Amino acid sequence: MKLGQRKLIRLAVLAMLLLSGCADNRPLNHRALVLALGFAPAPRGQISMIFQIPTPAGLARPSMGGGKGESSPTTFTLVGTGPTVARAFSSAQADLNKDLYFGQLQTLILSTHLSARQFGDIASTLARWGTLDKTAYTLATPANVPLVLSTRSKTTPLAPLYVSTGFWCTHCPVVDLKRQIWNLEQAQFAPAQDLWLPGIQPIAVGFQIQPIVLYRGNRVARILTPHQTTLLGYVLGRTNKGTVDLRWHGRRVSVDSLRAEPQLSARWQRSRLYLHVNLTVTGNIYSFPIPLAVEPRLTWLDQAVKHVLTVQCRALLQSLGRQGLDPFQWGDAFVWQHPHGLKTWLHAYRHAVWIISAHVQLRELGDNT
Amino acid sequence: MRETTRHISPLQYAILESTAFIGIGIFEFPRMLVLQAGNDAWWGLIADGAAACLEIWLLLKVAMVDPEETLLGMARRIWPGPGYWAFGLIDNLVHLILPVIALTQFTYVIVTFFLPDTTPWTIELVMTAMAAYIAWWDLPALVRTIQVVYIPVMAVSIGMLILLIPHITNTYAIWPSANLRLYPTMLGALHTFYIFVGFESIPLFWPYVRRQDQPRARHYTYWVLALSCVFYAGILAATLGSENPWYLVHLEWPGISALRLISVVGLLLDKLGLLVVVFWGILSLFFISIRFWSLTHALLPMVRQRTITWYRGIMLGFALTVFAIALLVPNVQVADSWIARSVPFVLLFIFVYPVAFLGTAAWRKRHPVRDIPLSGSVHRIDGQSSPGRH
Repeated sequence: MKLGQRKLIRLAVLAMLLLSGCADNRPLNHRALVLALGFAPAPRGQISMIFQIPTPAGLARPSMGGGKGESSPTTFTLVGTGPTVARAFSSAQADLNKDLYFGQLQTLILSTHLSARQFGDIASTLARWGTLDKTAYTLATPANVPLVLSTRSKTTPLAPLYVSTGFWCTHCPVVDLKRQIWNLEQAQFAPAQDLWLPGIQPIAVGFQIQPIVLYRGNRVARILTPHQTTLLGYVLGRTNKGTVDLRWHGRRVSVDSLRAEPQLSARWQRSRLYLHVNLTVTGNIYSFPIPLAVEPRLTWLDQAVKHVLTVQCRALLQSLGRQGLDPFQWGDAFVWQHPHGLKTWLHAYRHAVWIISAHVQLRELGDNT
Repeated sequence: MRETTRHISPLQYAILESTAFIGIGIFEFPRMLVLQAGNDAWWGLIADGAAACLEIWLLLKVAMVDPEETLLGMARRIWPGPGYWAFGLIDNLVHLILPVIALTQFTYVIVTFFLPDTTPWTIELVMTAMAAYIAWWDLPALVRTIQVVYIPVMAVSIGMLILLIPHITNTYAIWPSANLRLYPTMLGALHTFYIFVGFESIPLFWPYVRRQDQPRARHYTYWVLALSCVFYAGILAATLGSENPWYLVHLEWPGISALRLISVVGLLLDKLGLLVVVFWGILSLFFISIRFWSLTHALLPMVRQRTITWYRGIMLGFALTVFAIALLVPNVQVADSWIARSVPFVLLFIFVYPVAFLGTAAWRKRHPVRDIPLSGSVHRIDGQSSPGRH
């Protein structure tokens, strides 16, 4: 055999081996790229899976929105229902002549009305789905899931795009509530940490992503108010733009852009658990209603903000503790070092003494002082 | 052979040595360690590192019995007769188990994350063929191929571990336990020692290092171990911190699951972490190539053949055998159970044989057998004269 022929054969063999990776390549138009996936309870204990999928026209437009006057829809919604997630998925897949693909998933929305069994099935199935993108943002909603997915906001036309653009900027929202499928799966296996997810609600002009939804095990245990969410955000180190309203001789004083760096520690004393939360708070004040020297008013403001935050945070954390809800990692850290100490921890956590301290440093801004 | 030299440099030897083990453990680590040792996982890793250090010391001693002869060549003189054949067969079996495990592990990684609709045997066939292709031109060509890819792969892997730092949210899990529990720690160390199985190839590679380079190569072997321990420690910290320990033990490939979190917004390849999986796949491929080479070089002296035709024929035969055995593995759980069962056996072999070998060699030195010289001229694979024989 000549040298040239040998080289040709070698090249052909190498090309065959290298190109084999394309063996089960599927063209994009054979795939239905799921942008948003929702789960909601259905009648007779069944689960509904709601898929939001871009149309070919939608895929061609980067914004996915379509402007005024554009008639062709950019997405369509597919619903599959079944007693389990697998059956619901099969039911949806049967209605579609394309391969449902989760590699481009942006948002996962879970109804807060799902039963513990349904939630467990969902979490377990998601954990096993190899091609699923685990970084997709995850939210909970007490509202109707298809309604959430079909709502348009002012800035972005689709819920998944609204959510993803909102979460990309960690310092933009009042509280950074970014959670991913990954966090959901982690919490499933953590012995003492309770899952929390941001809640999403459709409102008249778009969405509100504010309250934190707290789970115990696989069930929703408590939905916080927006104010409680901000308070918990301080302790989790996620509040960017908190606000505190104060009164100075009947006049309203507002402190803005409050953020906190938390330091958490636990201490045992005579079999009693003491949980320390130390907040280093910074914030801005733009105007003060009455003339007063700078130094005393800032001192008064620091003290007042410190008082409000410590009192309100303690009240919230104590109530969470009494409910046995631990959105932090206190319990996991304890059980990791004491593998048989889960029961001890759970009992101690419910009766823990919360010690909240804060160091507040405010800056005075504005040009009307 | 067309190579300008059949020798390898100490750096090439070090890269070869680390590729000889890193391709098998990189995917599954540290699941078994955390599962068995719990919060003593760090101590388990240290125990594994210490055991690997002892293993290296013993194997270097074995290699130095005759620095220009490979293991089976020396064994023929140390244990003549049935002992030699029994040793050769066990050695072959060890080298046969390892590529099967690596092949099935990586195949199921690909099937799970990238190609769920592809039948595993097609991936196994392609991997086997490519591994055989890489090993086709014997060791110097094999090690040069590895050298080109190894350094960038390790650099990218370290870069990815750094990118994973912002995802470390479970910092409590990184701290080692203050209360060492010996039994779980040792159990975890035992089930994780496969991450260092590969050093047993030292006596096979050793004659390919020039005599004057061998002292440097000896130091490099320990450096390879030290750097590998640091690399594995990085993976342990990154996976414990980004996954919590209870979630980690439920993940088949914790390292890959953690790397999937890396996402760089705005970059064309935004899921950058998954790119490393492909690179680690190349390490697996090299691992299989090295095993094909080791298998062949363990058998060639037994059949007293050393031509390149025999090398290629036997290597292809082994490649097909490995492929056929891999077909028997129906899923990754079975591959895991094979690892769990074979590691104690491999461990026993790689610790017991050097001791027995060194003992017999010392005894033979005092009582030499005339017709079986301890050092002598053995021809290389291509029939040219030494150094660098098999």
